Amino acid sequence: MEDDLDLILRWTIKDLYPDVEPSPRVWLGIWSRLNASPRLVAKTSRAWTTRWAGAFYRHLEEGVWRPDWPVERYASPRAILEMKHLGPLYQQKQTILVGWSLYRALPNHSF
Amino acid sequence: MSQDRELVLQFLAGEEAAFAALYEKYKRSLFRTALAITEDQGAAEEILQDCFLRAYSRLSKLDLSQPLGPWLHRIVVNLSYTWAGKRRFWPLSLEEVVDWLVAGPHASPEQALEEREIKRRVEEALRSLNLSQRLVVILFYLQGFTLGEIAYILNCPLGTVKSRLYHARRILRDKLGPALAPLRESM
Repeated sequence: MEDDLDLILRWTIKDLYPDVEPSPRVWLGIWSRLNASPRLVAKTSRAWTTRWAGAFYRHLEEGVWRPDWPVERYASPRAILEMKHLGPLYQQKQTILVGWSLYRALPNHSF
Repeated sequence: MSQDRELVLQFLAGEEAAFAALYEKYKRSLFRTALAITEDQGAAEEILQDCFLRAYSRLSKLDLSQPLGPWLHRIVVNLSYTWAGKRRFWPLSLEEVVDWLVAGPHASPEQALEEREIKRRVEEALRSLNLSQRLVVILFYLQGFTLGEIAYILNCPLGTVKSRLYHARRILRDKLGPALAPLRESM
């Protein structure tokens, strides 16, 4: 049987911890990790992925993203340094592949 | 679970869209739990991301006779524990969140003030719990899991969950104490 404490907790806790939509960059981050090669994933951190996805998302929202842009558009200096080890051609190819994978993966290409 | 089971089977058969459907179904609930534990939006987003990355690689090992929600929450809770372990200090305040919540368009200034006061008191009381107790309270009162499901999520005996909830409730009652009756009247 519920008492005063139960009622108050049930009433307040849902407001204290609201039901909100996570940012689309979470899904972008997941997809960018899943669609990147194991080598790329091993070389990049989750934090980088989140930042990259965030930047990528903003650019898409603003309608200025182009798949042929270099990775420098989306990565932090540290991430660029990490990516440099992969070689410029690989970077470019991977950026395009990941970018298009993300773009195609999302429902109706809606960002 | 039958819909979840179907989606998992589709995913295991190579349909990536089924994984997206699972994400769509559970993202808000898992994000809410992560946010409630961490009180940090960025951390909660990272935990949600990691949760699904783990799920992606472990869905093949999932026991399909078990519900998916508790299994995903178990991952979120483990990741949140790890996150909390790395944090030296607990975040100081939820005031911004509370401000946003109580500033509803239909509330009068007096009602908003009253609601704010109630939530502030509950929030303070919740903060006085340790992480283990808080987790049980969040999973029980916020997500509505049964005690058995919480035991599975936290990977501990049912008796431990009952004990944590009992002690959490005792602390909350002590903190809210005499205010409980008037608080109820104002609800």
